[in-house]
Amino acid sequence: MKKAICSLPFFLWVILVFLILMPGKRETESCTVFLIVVCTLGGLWILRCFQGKFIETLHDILTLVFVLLLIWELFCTKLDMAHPVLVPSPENVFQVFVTQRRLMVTGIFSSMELLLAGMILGLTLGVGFGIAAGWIPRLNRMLFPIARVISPIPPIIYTPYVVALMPSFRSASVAVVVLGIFWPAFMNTVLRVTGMEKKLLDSARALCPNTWTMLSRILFPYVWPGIIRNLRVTLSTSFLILTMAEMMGASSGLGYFIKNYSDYANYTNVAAGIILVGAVVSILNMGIGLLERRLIKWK
Amino acid sequence: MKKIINDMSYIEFNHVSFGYPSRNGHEEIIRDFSLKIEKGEFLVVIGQSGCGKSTLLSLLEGLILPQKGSITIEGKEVTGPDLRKSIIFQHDSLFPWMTVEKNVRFGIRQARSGISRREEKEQAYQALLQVGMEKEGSKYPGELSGGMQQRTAIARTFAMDSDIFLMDEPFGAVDPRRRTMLQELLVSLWQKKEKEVRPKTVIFVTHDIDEAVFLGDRILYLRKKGQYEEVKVPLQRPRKIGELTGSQCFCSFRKIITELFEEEGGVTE
Repeated sequence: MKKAICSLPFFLWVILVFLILMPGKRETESCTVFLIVVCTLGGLWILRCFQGKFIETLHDILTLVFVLLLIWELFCTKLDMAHPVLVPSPENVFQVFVTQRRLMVTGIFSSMELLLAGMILGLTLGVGFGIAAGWIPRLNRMLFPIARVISPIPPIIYTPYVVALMPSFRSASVAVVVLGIFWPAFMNTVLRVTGMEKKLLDSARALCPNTWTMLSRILFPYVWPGIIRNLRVTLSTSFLILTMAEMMGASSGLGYFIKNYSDYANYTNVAAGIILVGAVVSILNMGIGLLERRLIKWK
Repeated sequence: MKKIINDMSYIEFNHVSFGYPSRNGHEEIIRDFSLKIEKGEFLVVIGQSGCGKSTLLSLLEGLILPQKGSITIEGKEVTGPDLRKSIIFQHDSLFPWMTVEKNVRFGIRQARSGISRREEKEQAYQALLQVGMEKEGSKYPGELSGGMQQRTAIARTFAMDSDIFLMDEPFGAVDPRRRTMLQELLVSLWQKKEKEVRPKTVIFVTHDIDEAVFLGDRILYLRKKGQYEEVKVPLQRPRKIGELTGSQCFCSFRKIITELFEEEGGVTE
């Protein structure tokens, strides 16, 4: 506890809170939401320290975050030195989370629906074909060279085409995410199956499993951890592709939220949208970490 | 016991050759190897590292196929793995994503399809009990020492109850006390079945001379490229390792094998 109070982030945090409460040069909306966010950040961290868990990395990250928020608050609201339209005040940005909450929530749900649908479909297909192509040499010789050509093409390149090609925007977004995930999942699975340790493979073969047992009880559990571990990267990729697609033809979603307001030069809402996307991706990542620990007990 | 027709041995290697592609083209591991193994025999294969002991087992299991010649079991050519024979490696025979119990149960289910879950569980428990692993049933192989993993693999092999046991230095990683216990367990399992209708045949690879003399009916000293010397071990069974090791007979066999090793200029372990 003492360590926390004497530390740099705590000091920065106190300054930040005072600064927010002080009147500034620029006219802003109510500072309540911003203050709540800052206080929650600091409060959670102090609580953590209070529980005796002093984490150095967290300490360093918070230092950086508070410094950035301080600079933002100081130069925008207090000194009014930044461009009033391009660099909105933090008070206004965080206020958007209250005023636009309905649009944000529908945006999150809309995006998550497409993202999950695309990810599940893409992973199932990629892993399924990957295991088959890894296990059956003839299929491998046919598909692997093709995969090597197609997989390095960034899905962003053909996003506009897919959006134009598919009947509805939602199906197009799912298709783009599926395409973005399928190839890396396929390649990873094939490489993992073909690179299986010889002893393990021999042990499995010696037990004479039929094809289904081999696939479901040996190969699938063997490649599964690698897939989960790659899921973080996969997730970031899919999210990137999805927001990209949403910026092209959607009428809801997180990408749409940002694109729509940047068309109107409402950078306050754009900034809020960016923060929201960051928060959503972080939460998803935490979920994957949890999933990893839950599902793969043997690693 | 039925006499096997045509004077054919139970297992026969007929002029088997096998090699791997190497930088110099083709490196032969085994050349023109012929051997007969009788049903119910306990054959120990011993030799320097890299002489092809493990290759011999892989060939017999059917994991690799001979490039020349053939291997037959009861007159039928070996074309791949089957459940009449089970192989156990020096290490890494277990599936890391299955618990100890699941690993053993997987083997049992493979060997006896249609077995009820309760029976499967019971047999797995009995097998683990035999090797002293019954308390570790819910652990994953990664949480166990090498010796414990090996005991689990041995339990799985024993539980599968195949006719032919192919064992590639199975007790190498096991601590000495357990090792003696497992050797005795293996022998008792092999002897018990010998009295019944289906005798077990064991082909056991090791580089431990004491182990070879203690276990084998016949010891095959494998030289490079599949040349070999045969030493018959007519020591009476049941053998007790404690009584045997000091005895004159045992020492004379030990000496014969040690000399074979020294002849080739190798150091024994």
